[in-house]
Amino acid sequence: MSTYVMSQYLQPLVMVAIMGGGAAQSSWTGGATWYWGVSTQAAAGATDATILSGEPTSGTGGYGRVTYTNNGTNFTNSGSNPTTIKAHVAWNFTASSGAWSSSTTAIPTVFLADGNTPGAGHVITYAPLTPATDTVNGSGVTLSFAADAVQFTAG
Amino acid sequence: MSDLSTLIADREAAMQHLNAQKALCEATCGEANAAVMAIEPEARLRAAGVAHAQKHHAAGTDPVGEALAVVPQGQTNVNLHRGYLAAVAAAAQALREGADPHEAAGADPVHVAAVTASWDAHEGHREVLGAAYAEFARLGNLIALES
Repeated sequence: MSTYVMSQYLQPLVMVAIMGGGAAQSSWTGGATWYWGVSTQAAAGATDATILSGEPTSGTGGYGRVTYTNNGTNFTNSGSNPTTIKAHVAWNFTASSGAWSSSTTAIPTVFLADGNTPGAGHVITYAPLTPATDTVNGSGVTLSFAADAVQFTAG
Repeated sequence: MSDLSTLIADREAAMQHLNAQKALCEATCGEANAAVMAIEPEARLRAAGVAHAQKHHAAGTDPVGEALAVVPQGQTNVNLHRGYLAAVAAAAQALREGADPHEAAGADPVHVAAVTASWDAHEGHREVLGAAYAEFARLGNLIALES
């Protein structure tokens, strides 16, 4: 279970919605589809830019973000006043065709973005992975997460 | 230990270096990688299995053992894909017996050539890029400890 961090992209949108946005709350429209990514950048002390820079490229390793529909089936919460939201449907990255970051560098962070191109788009939120020591250091490796394995908790 | 502002400045420099290395990789490998990514994922895995077996057979190392070594014990969310391992094993056996590894693993020779070309294109800057990722991650971890 990981405390999520609201991205630098999202924070001002939510602020404006809260203060000055009026009843329409039009500053943040959400998204129908999110894309899972991972980063070699630790979540604590990260910025949106460092999360994206630390993401593997869609290069030799065959890394690519994972499409995940943003609905109540894929994300379940702990009730009317939720403190925890779980990725309730198992998901996995396509098996690698080489090392993702060309080294034994671990992957400590998972994030959601609004686009499927690695290193690009807006980061929505991110959280540390437990353990933070998994690596994709060669071909034929699948990074996968069971239902409810990724959980976001309010800080 | 360095103070946080120094670490953040160091990470910024490391990030610039990493981004430059990633751009170099894209310029060098982009075309070869695109050819690989155009292959359907299961066929790509079989092709990678054959390419891996050929590489280690040529080097005199055990393809299956090398494949298994990629996922050390203690890794929680990563697994070696069974289809990939099966392709490696089938191709390795075919190579030992002088048979066709592509046929044995059910891989398209064109796909195997594409994977091999991608790996070859990457080899010249693989270590530099890996080191850039490692340094960037190291500084990020230090900042996380200080935050």
